[in-house]
Amino acid sequence: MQVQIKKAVLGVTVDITEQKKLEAERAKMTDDIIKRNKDLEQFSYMVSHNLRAPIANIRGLTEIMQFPDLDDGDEKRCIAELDASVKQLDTVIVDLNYILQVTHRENEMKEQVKFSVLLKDVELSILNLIKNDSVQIIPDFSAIDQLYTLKSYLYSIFFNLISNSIKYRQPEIKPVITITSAKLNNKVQIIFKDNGLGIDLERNGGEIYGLYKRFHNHVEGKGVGLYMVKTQVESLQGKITVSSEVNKGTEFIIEFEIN
Amino acid sequence: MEQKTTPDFIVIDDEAVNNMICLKIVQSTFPGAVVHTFTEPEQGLEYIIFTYLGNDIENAVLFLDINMPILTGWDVLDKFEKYSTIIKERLKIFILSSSVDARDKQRALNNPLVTDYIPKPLSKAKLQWLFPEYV
Repeated sequence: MQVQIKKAVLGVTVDITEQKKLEAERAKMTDDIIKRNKDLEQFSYMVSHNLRAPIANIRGLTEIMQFPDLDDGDEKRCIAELDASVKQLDTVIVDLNYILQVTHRENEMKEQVKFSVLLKDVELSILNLIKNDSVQIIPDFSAIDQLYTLKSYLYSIFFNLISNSIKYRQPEIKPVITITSAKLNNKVQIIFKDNGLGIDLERNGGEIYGLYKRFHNHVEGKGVGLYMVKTQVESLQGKITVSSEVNKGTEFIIEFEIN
Repeated sequence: MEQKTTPDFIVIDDEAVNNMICLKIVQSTFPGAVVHTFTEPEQGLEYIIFTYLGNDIENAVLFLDINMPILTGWDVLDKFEKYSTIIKERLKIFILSSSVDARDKQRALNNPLVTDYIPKPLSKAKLQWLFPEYV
């Protein structure tokens, strides 16, 4: 007698959609916590360094102002310095607020942003600087002129890079800034090139995006601009690279995926 | 050589206002004391090396800021490293910083060239406490 063998497969299906969802949620929460922690570190750094600096000056100045033998000239100078320190204090508080806000605006709506229009807006906001220093800005967005992105971030990136180029120009040379876009596969690049003072990257390369890092004497600068630029480029999942030569100029390339 | 009651003071800080505060505070605490201030660390360094490595000269006190563009206070200390014995003998180095970050203080105290870490501002009370022998 022939035995009939029947083959069977036993399968068990378990719906783990919920589990996967929970895992994803957990990963996102961890991510948020790490980000928040970094913000707090930054915050405490700023409190102990940048908020403290003008306060220390104010305390020093008020001690001097109580000296009985202070002459008129000294008193005037103290008042002027006191005024400057109070303004500096105010600026740090505004910066602090700005920096803490900026890292958490992912909810803002993305939109199609035209580089040429954005540049016009930026130029308008620093028209005085451009005129006073005879700045020449040469845009070329013929390769690609728009990106689906957060307008406020891209605006701040343009604004900071352009104002840096003006701030750190060579004193004897008219500042020329070229801004060019390029399209590579699935990526868009925006290249900012100037003929300014340049940065010694060998010495300072690791720190150029550091908050409150400054690389030039005699130039008004707070060391916030490039920190903001990098933070914003990265929160848009972009990349920023720099090349620079002292007394020749600096080139920043920012790169975003086109989606 | 003429005997001075107080040492010379040197202040290196890119912020002019701090140098002014130091100058006034030192002069008010030790009338007649000589104070040299530098807003550019390179110049301060040059002055120190030129003055204090050269000849038979009295000791001095250096108040050095940390957070400066181009050459930070740490960089300045590094440059002193190769002159360390002579500098150590002649210079009493204090880090004078507005930072109240414990890590900055620790880093300063870990440096054998540094005598102490003083949070800004310099005040008469702090000077009197640091140099009771000249009061």
